[in-house]
Amino acid sequence: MIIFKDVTKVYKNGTEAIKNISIAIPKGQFTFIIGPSGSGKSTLVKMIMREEVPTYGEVFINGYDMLGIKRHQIPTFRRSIGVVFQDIKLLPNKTAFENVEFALQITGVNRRDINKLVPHLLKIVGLSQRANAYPDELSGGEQQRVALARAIANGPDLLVADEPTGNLDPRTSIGIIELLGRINKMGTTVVVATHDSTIVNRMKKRVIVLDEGQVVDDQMKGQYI
Amino acid sequence: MSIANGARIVKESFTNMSRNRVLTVTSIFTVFITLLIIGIFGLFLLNISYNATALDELLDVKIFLVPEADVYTINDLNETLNRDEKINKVEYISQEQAYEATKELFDDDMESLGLGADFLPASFVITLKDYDQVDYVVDIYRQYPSVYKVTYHKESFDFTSNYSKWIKNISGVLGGILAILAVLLISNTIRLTLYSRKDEVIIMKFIGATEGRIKIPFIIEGGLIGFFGAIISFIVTGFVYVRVYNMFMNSSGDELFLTGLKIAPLQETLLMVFVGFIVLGVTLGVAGSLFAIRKHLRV
Repeated sequence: MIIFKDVTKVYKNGTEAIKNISIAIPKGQFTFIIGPSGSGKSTLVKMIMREEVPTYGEVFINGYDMLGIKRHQIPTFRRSIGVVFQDIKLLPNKTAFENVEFALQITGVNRRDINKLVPHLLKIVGLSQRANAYPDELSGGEQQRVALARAIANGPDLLVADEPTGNLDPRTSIGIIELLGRINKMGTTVVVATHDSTIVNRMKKRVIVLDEGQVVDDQMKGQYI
Repeated sequence: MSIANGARIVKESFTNMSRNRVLTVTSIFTVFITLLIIGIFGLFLLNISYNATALDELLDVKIFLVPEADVYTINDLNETLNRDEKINKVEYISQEQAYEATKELFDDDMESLGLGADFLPASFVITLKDYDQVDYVVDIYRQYPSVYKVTYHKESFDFTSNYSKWIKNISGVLGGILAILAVLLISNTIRLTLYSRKDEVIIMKFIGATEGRIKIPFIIEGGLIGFFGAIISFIVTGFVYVRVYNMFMNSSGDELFLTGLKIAPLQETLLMVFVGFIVLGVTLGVAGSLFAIRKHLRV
């Protein structure tokens, strides 16, 4: 599902963010990528989303070669992954329903299916009652749940979350990470980049530790180091 | 793309325009001014070319032949003139034809004045393809032994050659500068829209929207700016042209009429201006959009 083979990423300014990393994350796995700031977590996530490409090495995501992929294939590839951002990025002028609907509209889902799918997705994230609320009427946790519903709207094989609990209190964070766990149990591969030790230790899932662009630890039932 | 999707995209573009109202209005205004200037100069040039027939007489070159020129010499010269690539049209006026024409002018008084058919010389009346070449052509044919003299209305040539060029150059340069300004301003407006919708664009990218789906609302927005600028320009230009046209049509007794000058017909001209403005305005708008989004919206 996710394969990084001898991957190095050097930015234009000369910063070597990732140094010769090799990682394989199989389909259906829940994986944390942890490490201090500047350890290369975000670069790794960006390479999964094909926002960045490796300078050296090979990256394969959902069967797509990230270096060989053609520009017109990128949208199709991105529909196979869902993304959750730390700053949530909900559209402020749209309700919870409309924010989720937006993801389906963009990919050309018809109105009838949208009307069936959105309530279902909001039910999964536990926000059926808040469908008509605007982002500024929702709590941080609720906003992140809407973002999660949006991320899984197109049925991705892989869900990537970059610091999904970064702006949330511990109790809300646990709620979000448990929701990610439930999504994972439905068959979606989940990769979470975080430095939140509470959620990592609670989930007891695979933990890949990065430091200065290198993998320094990789355990199947890891703890936050 | 379904009709509903298309309608949604157009609605998105209108929403963006209303969000950045000041810049949108400025951009529309720039397109308006650009097209107005191009339009006014364009109409001026159009009417000059429409009056080309009226001006033709003033732009004829007359080559008068010596009385002793025989039919062979005249035929030779006729062939040479017809072969000359600088010459557009050649017309031979015999002594008799010249005499008849002059007779009409003097109410048949020629005979009473004792002037016969050989009073006037035969001539060739030529028009040139490029009025700039007049001195060159005149110099050449003046040297022919069968040619008595070559005459032309120098001031008309100078006017046509210099002023029409001058008008063309000014409208070209001014129109060009304003067009660039319009493109840059529209591009700036679109860039601001892009900035205000940064998150939306990022979300669209990562949800898997195609590059076209992301770009189209911005391109439509630029096109709409150009379209509205063109409409306002057309209204103003049309109003001015109708006024000038009516003034011209009502001046049958005065100087304008006497000059023999005509004004291009109202309906056809306005239709041409309308189509031209819309095409140019939308092109400027779309160009501005493409300029703004060329780098920023790569998936």
